[in-house]
Order: sequence, then C-alpha cells, then structure tokens
Amino acid sequence: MLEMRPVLAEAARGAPGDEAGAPGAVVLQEHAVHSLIQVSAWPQTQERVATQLADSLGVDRAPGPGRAVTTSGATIMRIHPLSWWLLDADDPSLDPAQWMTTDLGTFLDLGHSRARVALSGPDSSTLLNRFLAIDLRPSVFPIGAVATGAFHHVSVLLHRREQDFHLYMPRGFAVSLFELLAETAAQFGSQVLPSGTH
Amino acid sequence: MSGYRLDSGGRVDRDHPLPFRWDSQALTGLAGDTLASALLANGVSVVGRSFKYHRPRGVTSAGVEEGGAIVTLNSGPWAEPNAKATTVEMYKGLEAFGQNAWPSVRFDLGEVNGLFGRFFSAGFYYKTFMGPLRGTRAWMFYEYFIRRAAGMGTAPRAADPDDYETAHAFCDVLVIGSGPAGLEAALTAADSGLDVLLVEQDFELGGDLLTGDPLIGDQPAGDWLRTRTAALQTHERIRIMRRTTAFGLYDNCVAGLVERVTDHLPGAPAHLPRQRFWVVRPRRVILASGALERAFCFGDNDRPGVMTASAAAAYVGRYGVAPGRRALVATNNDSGYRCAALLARNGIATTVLEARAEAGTAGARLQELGVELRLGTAPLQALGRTGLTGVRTARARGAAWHADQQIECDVLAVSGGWSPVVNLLSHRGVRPVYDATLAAFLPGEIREPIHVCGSAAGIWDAGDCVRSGQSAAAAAARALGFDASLVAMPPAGGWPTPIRPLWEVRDEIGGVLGKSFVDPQHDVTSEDVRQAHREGFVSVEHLKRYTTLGMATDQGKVGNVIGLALMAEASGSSMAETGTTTFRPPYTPVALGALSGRSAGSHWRPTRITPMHRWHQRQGARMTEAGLWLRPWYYPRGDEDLEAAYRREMQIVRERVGLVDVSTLGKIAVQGPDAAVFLNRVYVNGFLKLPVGKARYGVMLRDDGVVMDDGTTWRLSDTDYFMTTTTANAAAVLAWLEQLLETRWPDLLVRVTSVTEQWAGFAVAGPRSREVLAALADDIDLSDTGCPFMAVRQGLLQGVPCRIARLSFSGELAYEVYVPSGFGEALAEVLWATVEPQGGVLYGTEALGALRIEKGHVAGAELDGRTTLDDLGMGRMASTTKPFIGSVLRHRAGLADPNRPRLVGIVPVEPGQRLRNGALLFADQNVSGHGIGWISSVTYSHECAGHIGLGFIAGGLASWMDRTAVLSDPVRGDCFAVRVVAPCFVDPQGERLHA
Repeated sequence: MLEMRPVLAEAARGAPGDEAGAPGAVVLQEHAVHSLIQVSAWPQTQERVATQLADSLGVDRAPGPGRAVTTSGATIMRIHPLSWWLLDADDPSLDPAQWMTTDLGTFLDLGHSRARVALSGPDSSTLLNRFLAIDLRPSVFPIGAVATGAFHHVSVLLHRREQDFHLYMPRGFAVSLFELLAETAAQFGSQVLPSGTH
Repeated sequence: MSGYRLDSGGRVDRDHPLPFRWDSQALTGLAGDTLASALLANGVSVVGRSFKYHRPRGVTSAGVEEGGAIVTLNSGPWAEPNAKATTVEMYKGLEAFGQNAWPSVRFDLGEVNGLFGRFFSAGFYYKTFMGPLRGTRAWMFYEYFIRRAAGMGTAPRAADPDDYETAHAFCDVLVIGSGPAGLEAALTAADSGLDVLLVEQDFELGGDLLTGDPLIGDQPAGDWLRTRTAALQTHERIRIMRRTTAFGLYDNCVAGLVERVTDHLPGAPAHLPRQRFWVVRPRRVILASGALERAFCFGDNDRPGVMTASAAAAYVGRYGVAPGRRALVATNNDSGYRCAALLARNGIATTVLEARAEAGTAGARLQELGVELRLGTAPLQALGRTGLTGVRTARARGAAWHADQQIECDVLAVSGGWSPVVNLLSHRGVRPVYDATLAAFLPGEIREPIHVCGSAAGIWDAGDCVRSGQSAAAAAARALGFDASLVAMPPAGGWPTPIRPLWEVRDEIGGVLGKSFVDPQHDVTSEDVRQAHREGFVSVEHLKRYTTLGMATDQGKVGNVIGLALMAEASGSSMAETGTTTFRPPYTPVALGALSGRSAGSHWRPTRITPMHRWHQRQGARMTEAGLWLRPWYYPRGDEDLEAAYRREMQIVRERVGLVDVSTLGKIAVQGPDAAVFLNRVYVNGFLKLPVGKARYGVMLRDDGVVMDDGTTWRLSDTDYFMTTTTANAAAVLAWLEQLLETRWPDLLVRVTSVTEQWAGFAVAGPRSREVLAALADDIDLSDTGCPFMAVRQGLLQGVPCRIARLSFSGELAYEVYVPSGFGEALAEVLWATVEPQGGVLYGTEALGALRIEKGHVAGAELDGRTTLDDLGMGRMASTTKPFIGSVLRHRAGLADPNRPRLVGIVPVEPGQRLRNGALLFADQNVSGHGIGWISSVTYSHECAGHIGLGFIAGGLASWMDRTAVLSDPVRGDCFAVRVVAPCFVDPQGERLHA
C-alpha cells in the first residue's frame, strides 16, 4: 500500500527552533488530519442537516457561525452559512454517508486538502497576529472559536482549542506559510516538533 | 554656536557614555541622548547642507519636524539617508554622516550655488523648459547637472539586508501620544474597563513633560510623570508601545504604525526584525498627538544656532545640553518664557525679545532670574555663517518693524506659536479650522470615532491637557457602553496673554535682509511664496506644487502655516479663505521594507507546490513558476540545456512513455441534484446526458462570447462531477461558478468546492502507458474495452483510492491518475519505478507544451481572453439546441466575422528557420503596421523535423490553407516566408489516442 507522507516533515526538520528541545514560548507541530469531511446543506435544509450533525455527534446543537464543538468523537466547525467541517471522525457511525441524501445536501472528503499546524505556548496568539488580522483576545476569540483569515494572501482557518490553536492551511501553500511561521516564531523562543498524528 | 554638556540636569545617564562617530570623527554621547543632542553637546554646529543653495544648517528642533539636521546613518547596504538627527536614539557605535555636501558639511563646495541663488527661485526647474532653448536638446544637457547638484542623501543600491515584519493588533481604544493628555486618557480609559493600546513615537513616555516643566497643578511634573508611568506599566488593560509612530489613519479607524524594534540596538539580536509595521484596529481613537512649535521668518533664519524655543528648552531640560552660551529667546506668545527660564536657571545668559508690547506675569518672573526683557522687539536678521554670531533686531512701531541694533549671541530660540498636530485627522478628510485668537489651525468637525485632546486640540496648559485626556477617555468609554463619568473638555487656549500673530519680520520698507526661509528643507523662501503669487499661482495647492513648500520629509510641519499666512497676505485674503493643503500618510517617513514585512526574498509572495515537489527536486528537475505554483520545467540529464532536455523528453513520450505532474490543474467538485443542469448552462457543449463513468472536454465562455477556460469534466455519479480547469484559471473559474450560483441561479441545488489540493495527479502518456498503469492498478480494468477513450474509473491503486481517466493532452495513448494528495509522493515513486525500466521519462512543462502544440491543442497562449470558439476552430462544438453562458453574444457581428484571425498551423518555408512566439504575420513583403496575424505558440517537432507553430491569421484556413505568408519579428529581427497548414501536426486521425 502506498505510504502517506506528512506535509511538513521536511519543513519542520529545517526550521529554526531551540535545538535542545527545551520548552519554548511557542511550540509548532504539524498534526495530521485524520479526516475532514465538508458537510453542506441547501438553504431550505440547513436546520435539518444541523440537527442531524448534532445528533450524530451527541451534542445539543451543531455549532453556529464562527464556532466549533469538540467531543471525544470528532470536531464540527461551522465554516460557511450552509457548510460544516467534520474533523477527525474516526468512528464509521459518524460518516455522513450513513444519512446524507442529495435532497438534504452534500458531503465531500477534503481530508488531504489541508495541512494542520498546532501552535501552543504563551506567545502563540502573538505569533498568529503577525500574519492574521483576526482579533484573538480571549474575550473576542474564546475556546471553540473558528475564523477564516488571510495568511500572506492565502485563505486559512483558525480554531482555538483548550490548550492550543489549530491552523488549517491549503496543502500546496503549507510549506511556504510554515516557513514564515517558524522564522517569525524564533523571536519568541520556539520549538518545532516533528510532524505528529494527534 | 558652541553647545556643551551641562554638568547636571536632564534625563541622560552620565554614567553611561556611548561612543559614536560623526563624519568619521569619534565623539561621545550619553544614554538617553539623541544624535542631535549628542552633536550639540560636542559643540557641532553644522550638521547639514540645504537642498538647493547648500547653505550650512544646524539643529533647528528636537523632534520629527526637524528640517536642518538631516543626516545619513550607517554605511554600505545599511545606509539610511535623510534621517533626522533629532529622532535618532543614541547607541554605542552609532555611525552618522553629513549629506548633500562635498567634501563635507563643514566645508562644502556646493555652497557656490548660493551665488546663483536668484536663478534658483521658485519654479526655476520648469522655466528651464521654456525660453530661447525651448524645443532644443540643450535641456537634455543641463538637466544632468541640475539633478547632480540638487538632492538630499543617497540611497544605497544594495538589497536591504534587514528583516522586517508586519503585525496586527486589536484594542478598544488606541491612544496616540504620551504627553499629559495621552497618559491621562490611557489610564482613565483602562480604569473604565477598556482595553487600551498606548503608542508613543519617542523612546520615553511623557511628551513635553520630559523637558521638566515645573508643575502640573500642585505636583512637580517629574513626579506626576513618574507615578503615571508606573501606573500605566502595571495596568493589566494597557499595552504600551514606545518607539512607535502612528503614521496614518484609514477607514474604520484602522491605524498604521511603525515600531522601531532594533534601530537603537548595536548589533541586531538574532531573529528580531529591524522594524515592525502594525495594522491596528481599535474601536475608538484618542488623538493626543500634541502640537509642534513654529518659528517665524526673518532674514537668514536658517543659520546654525537658530532653533525653536521648545527645542532649546528640550536640550537643556531633557538632554542636559546647553545649545549655546549666550542666548536670545524671540517670542510672540507666553510659551517662550518657559524656555528663557530654563536657560537662565542653567547658567546661560539670556535675553528675551518679546514681539508684543507687554509680557504679563510671565515676564515679571523672568526678571527675577536675571533675564533681560525687551518688549516690542523681534529678530530682523541672523548673523554669522557656519554658526550664529549675533542678531540684528527690529523694534515695533505700530504694525511696522524698524531696524534697531545688533546683539551678540550664539543661540536664538524662536517661538512663533504652536500648530496642533492634526495630520492624522487630515488623513480622514477632516479639514482644520483656523482660530485667529490662537493663531493656529484646530481640528475641524469629526464624524468618526476619534477623540482629540491636549495640545492637539489647541489646549496649552498642562493641567488642562490632563483634564482633556480624562474627558476624551470618558467620552470614548461611554460611546462603547462602559461606565464613565462625564468630564467637561477644557476650551482651547490657556495663555494668560494673547499671542501676537507674527509670520515674518521685515524692515520698515517691507524688505528682508538676506534670505527668509519658510520651508528650510526645500530652501523655500518667503520671496518664493510672493513670487508664486505674482506669477498667478493663487491657489494654495498650486503654491505647494510650484514652490515645493511642504513637500519635503517634514511634510510642511514647520513652514506650511507660515507659507499660508504669507500667501494670504499677498492675496489680501484671510487665513480661513486661503485654506490648507491636505496632509497625507505617512506622518513621518516609513521604510519601504517595513511595509513589505516578511514579504521579501523567497517569501515576497506565497509559493505553492505539489505533493511531489521534493521528489521532483530529487530527480533533478529544474522548476519554473506557473503563477504561484512551482512546476517541473524539465529534467536535464548530464549537461543538457532546456532545448536538449525537452526535445529528448517529448521524443520518449511519443516513442515509449512519460510521466508529468498535473496536480496543479484546477479541480472542482460539482455536487447536487442540479449539477448536470448547471454544467449544461456553463459549458458550450452538452453535459446533461454525460454518462456516469465518462469524461467530456468542455469549453466555457464569458457572457460576452469570448472563451474563458477549457478542461474536462468527469461524471462520478448521478450528482457528483469532477471538473478540471487550466492551472491559471482555477481560482477564477471557481469564483465564477460561485457567483453564478449565488446571484444568477440561486434556485439550483448545486455545491461547488475546490478540490485542487485534495488530489495529486500524474499524466501517464505514451504507447506504453496502459502497461504501466495496469501493473499498478489493483482492481481497474484498463484495457481498451475496459477503459475506452474518455472513460473514468475509480478504484484502488496500490491500496489507495484513485481516479483514472483516459484523456490525452499530448495526442498519445494517455491517462490521468489521481490519488489523495498525501499519497502523491508515494505514487510518484511507484510510477517511476515502473516507467523507468521501460525506458520511459519524466517530463516537465516545456515538453508538455511541445507535445500539445504538435497536436494542435489550444492552451493559455491561444485562450488569451480575445479569442472565440470560431477563432479556435471549435465553433461546431457549441450546442445549437440549448442556451449557455455566452450563447447569444458570441453571434455578434464583430465576433462572427469570418475574416477574424483564426487558428492555423505555421511552418517555415525554408527548413531550419526558427519560429518565435509573438512574431507577426503579413500577407506579403509589405511589412508595416500590425499585420494580419501572429504566432501564439512554437516548438521544435521531431515528427516534422523542424520548428512548428500555432497562430492566428485573418480568415484562417479557409483563406490561407497551404498559402505562403510572411513572418516578421521586429523585436528579434526575423523576416522570412512561412506556410499556413492545419494546426494538428501529429496523428490527425487520432489513431494513437484510440489505441
């Protein structure tokens, strides 16, 4: 079987960072995307699809605009008025193919289209604001917030989680953008970890 | 002028000396100095030479308005010309040089220009275009010398070696300026619960308080500043940025800032940028940007030793430097007395020249300090050349001034009034309003969420400035829904004795002794302003451009108001009637590097690579740019150049098999019950009946009937399609499809999503391509019957999901195979492991292009935004039974004209002649004008044993088949006969395609 290759393995190896591996103010690491499925509704079926998504994940409501919900099973993000991203849903029962029909909407596998970088540490939001014009003050962008922004003219998506941020970048641009992140992170003291499968 | 360091006083650290170099001379400054204060402390008087006349210039201010001490910092690629010595923070090892002078600013041969000063008045440059030499080439000769003679510093030609970066910040309130008003505003706002960002262009907070004003209310200014600063620095809701200039205000209160991160540090620390460009998005702005002191004009007012009174006070009070030993303070308002008191308290013999008839209480206090006060007196002319030696004074008699006597001095501190810094408001279209009582332009009506306080609002008293800061902050807090007590805004003003507006001191017959400079940086004199008016430049906008008043790096901070006043005087208008020009960003010069941030070098734009990029590099590929993508261009073997490589690659594809990375093609998932209907409306040919498991080549037009893009669309299921586009148009096509669905056909149930990044793909092309893929596909029948031409198959390839379509761009038996991108590199490895033993080849975009040209397939060079279906020979492809985008307008007479240039093939008549892209085609040897056609694509062809091309010629094949035309390339000098042929040079019957 063909082997899957991480997007940023070589970029991470060549990135500036504390060689000793000591804890830095910013830690960068590629987190492999296990799965990413775009689930979309039609205008007249938006509520039904939202309900179906919430039921399948066992939450009260599917996330509203700019929000994500994370359970042990998966993460759902609202990325568009009529679309959600279903991430890392390893359980086959969460597969939208189980319940989606064309009169309800569509689903699409985008699991290989994005590279995902986790940024953690006290200066991670400062680092992100070197590139993203998104207000990351916790009162404005709390845990569970999701926003799309432009990183060096490339559309990216940012998700604040409990302990870190996840930054989703189009695969083709990921190396170029990661290099910018790593170079800029060095001023805060940084650590670039090898690509992982979190 | 003989400046010197005082034994005590100021905020400099006398225990921390800092060696630096000025014009290669080793000197010493102190921590807390600026370059200007350090030069003054070392007795340096001449720091620059003026723009046109090369007059010696010294330090004239203590801030961003500086017009005399303009220097070059550093050398080599780090050289920075036109730096203001008054804003350069001293550090160990600083290097600075005089500029616009030879051999030095101290002795400059360019000063001879002054002898011809009368010929260099306003507009002299434009006048060189007129007169008896008009229309001759004489101007081309002396223009060279004019350019050499004028100018300021010289920028280095080497690339900027420093790093910069950009950053974004958000806050509730942005407070600009840290004088008493700004500090109080920041604290009040933060105490009200707002998130505050305080920016200060200086390296210390305090603004005017740094000079050491005696009191704010009952509290010594130094104590007040200390306690406020401590409170600010520990407040959890306040972020402070020093060394940060707010250079512009933009829509929605967005502010542009430049932070000087390492300019003041000897040896930049690793990983830090030199400067940082901030885009700040506050909800409200509090402008506490203060005011800048003006002087007034008089004869030779540019001599070293002449400076503003606030500057003299700052050098004494903040930097512990005496600007001279014998001082005159000339003033028309109360603020000049503060300077006189400071000078006197520090042992400098001081005389005040008071332009008004009385001085009020401030004058009485001065006399207690032993300061001589001369009422109704003003300077008429400064004496000296490289340093001030004295002043010729004038006495007021009524409205006129009469020459009086000479007084010896080495420093003349002038206070002519204050100009609130309203530049940032001007960026927002707020026109300042002239207040005749204060002789100042005050902020006009503001309709945006901006609050002005302190001296920026024309408030002069320090205690009133503090209250105005509270008022502005409270207003901002209440506007944002926070609780804050209303505080009344103090009125503008605050001098016990009114100012006497004074713009220029001329003698009793209105004459000026020497030159009276209005804008020292551009050598604009008061006579230039009057001359401009005489010559008919009566608008303030024309005055500016004709004289260049206000167009130097200070953007008129020093001279604009004076120039306006003189113009008003000349025209008999009021200041209000004369109006102002518009301040535009940046407030102070901004390095272009800062605006670029990290978008420099390899990151000047984002780079896009395919999943197989590194694998291609390991195979020795030379890459080329295709928009933002990097694609393999060719794979040289040995010492092959491009020509040899692509010829080899294309030949092997035709004879055996080749692999080319096609991951960059645009790929769009078109999903939904109405997907077929949608595609049918977008493409010119039919898609409604495309069977599942088949692909179809499609062309889409713009609304105006011109071809927009082409590609293949694969039907994966009843409601699922996989559309491919050209690499270049992928984003444009997606945006177009989205626009159609959202605005034109919102009733259609269709979702379009880019999947360009989801799939990595190779084209496998050549007679052996079937064998290659069949060896790797797990469960897909790739036989001719199992996978006929244009079939689409989905299955597994080496255990991973794949999509394979039998398509051909090259004209050979070929397939496009896609796997999810994460498997792309592994796919490359297994494909190559199968292709290489067969004598196959990796090929790049050069060979890819060569192959398609041989086959007559159009690409970007032909789909150039001007060509129609009929131009491309595809008219019959268009459906005649269904409407589609462009179906109506493509039949316009101009587009349907059979005599339009149409696609043809071109070969040289003489074998061995080389065709080139862009060459023009003519009907005969009468080669002139734009011809009747052009060559769009060329390549060498093994099959044709020579160069071939695709192109367009009026009338196309119908008029030109097998006829001879003339190719003319005026750029490269070619001109020879060519023959027009059918555009398909290889396998026109398509036997190889259908093998």
